Amino acid sequence: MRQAVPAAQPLPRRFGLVNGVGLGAMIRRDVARVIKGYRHTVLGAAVSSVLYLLVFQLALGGDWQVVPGVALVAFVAPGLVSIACCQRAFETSASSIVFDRLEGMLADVIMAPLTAAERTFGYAASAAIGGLMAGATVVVVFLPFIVLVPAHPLVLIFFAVAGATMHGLMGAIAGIWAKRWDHYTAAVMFFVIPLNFLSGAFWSIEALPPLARSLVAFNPVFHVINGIRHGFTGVSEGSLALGVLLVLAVNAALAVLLHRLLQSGWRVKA
Amino acid sequence: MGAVNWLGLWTLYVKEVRRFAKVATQTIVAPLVTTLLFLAIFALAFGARAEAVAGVPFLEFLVPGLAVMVMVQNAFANTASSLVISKVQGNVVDMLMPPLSPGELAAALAGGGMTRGIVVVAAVLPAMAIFVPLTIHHAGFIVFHALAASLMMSLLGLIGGIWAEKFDHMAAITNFVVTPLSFLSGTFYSVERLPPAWDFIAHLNPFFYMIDGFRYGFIGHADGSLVGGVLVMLGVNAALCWVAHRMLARGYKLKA
Repeated sequence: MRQAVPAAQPLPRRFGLVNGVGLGAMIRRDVARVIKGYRHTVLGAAVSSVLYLLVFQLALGGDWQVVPGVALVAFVAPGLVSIACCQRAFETSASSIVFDRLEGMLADVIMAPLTAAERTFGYAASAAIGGLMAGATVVVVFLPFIVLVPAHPLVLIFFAVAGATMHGLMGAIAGIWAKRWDHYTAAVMFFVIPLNFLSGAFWSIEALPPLARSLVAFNPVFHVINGIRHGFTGVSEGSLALGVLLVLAVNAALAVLLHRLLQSGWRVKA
Repeated sequence: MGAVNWLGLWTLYVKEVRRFAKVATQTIVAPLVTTLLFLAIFALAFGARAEAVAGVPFLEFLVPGLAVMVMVQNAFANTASSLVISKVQGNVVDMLMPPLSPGELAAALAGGGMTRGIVVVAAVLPAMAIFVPLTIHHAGFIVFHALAASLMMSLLGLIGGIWAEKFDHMAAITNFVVTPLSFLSGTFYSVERLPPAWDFIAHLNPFFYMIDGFRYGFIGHADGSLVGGVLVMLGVNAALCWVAHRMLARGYKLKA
């Protein structure tokens, strides 16, 4: 008589509360992708940021002050740093997921002994690191034009990290949603770029009509840009306290949403 | 087939057009949105404060520049991406094996790129005209520079696409050559604003003449010489035609 083979039971996790090795590997992999493609991911952002800065400088002339006491370049440069940081963060997590899916490698992330919470953290953290690398590079290439010295380093760090994380979470959600590169491009072109470019990187809120001015107060990306600008130049056009609360709340909501999506396997598991 | 393989040429041209028409969201709608975004940024950032450039309000100066910029970027992207994708995916032989001469190949590919450039500009101009009044001062210059500029950039994309071996190379040319040249050659400002040394360099730059000539068709003011611009565009196009033809005839980076 043959003995019935007992059904395989999943082994209990052996890593303690957090799978630090797996999480570290996941983060290192996505950061390595940013570094490997540095010509596109980091230098590309640097060149386009310098171009925007030059165009604004040349089109407007040097001496115009956007808000009293702040020269045009000093006003626009932190905005460009913020855009580069946020856009790269979004593209890091979104392209990671879309690429894995289309190459059939997403199973490597899904099969790994990582919980949905660990994967949420992994995507957000690697995207934030990628975004901060792009932002730091832009600060460096701006040196010939303007030396950005943080006036309030803590404010700068908070808003840069929070903004990059926010876009990393949005990127991961968009990456799960996107079935093709087409969808990914659409998310960048029609969502991220307009959202970042229209959120006060280039103009003072004084330039907006009153209704838009009050709506801007609820735009988290405006607060990221404003916070980064305050961190560099000490000038703020909005309430920093409101900014901190709003940015934290949006990050929390996005993290919960991404966690739910990863848990449910939406568009990932059959 | 006679002197020219018209059927083959037409077939390749139609394939090139269908290639970008199929992904119209990326190839037509996305540039349209980006251009309107630029317009919104400049309108809001400068507001009523912007001084007139070359005797016309700043936004009226800006619109033709934006239009020609997005046109040439798309003309370039079309031939370049078509070739690189064919090479990477290995179906470039389908283009090289049929009985098409190098001249026919160049004409069909460049024609596809020009078509995309013209379609994009034809979408962008009316969209911007909703917000900024556009007048036509001299239609001949608009048509000539639209055709010449998109041909020039299609040929550059063709040459770049033949040279590039990976998407990386293509992205590098786009990021480090095409975008800077189309940004800094007078799209957003009159080159009279530049320091004299740069002003001289600007006048050696074919990108400057195509923007300047195209804009003259709308606002009736040119920073540089109009006749010089036409001659430069014709000369550059002739030279690029020759280079593209040589590359295709020799099979440079295409045939083993």
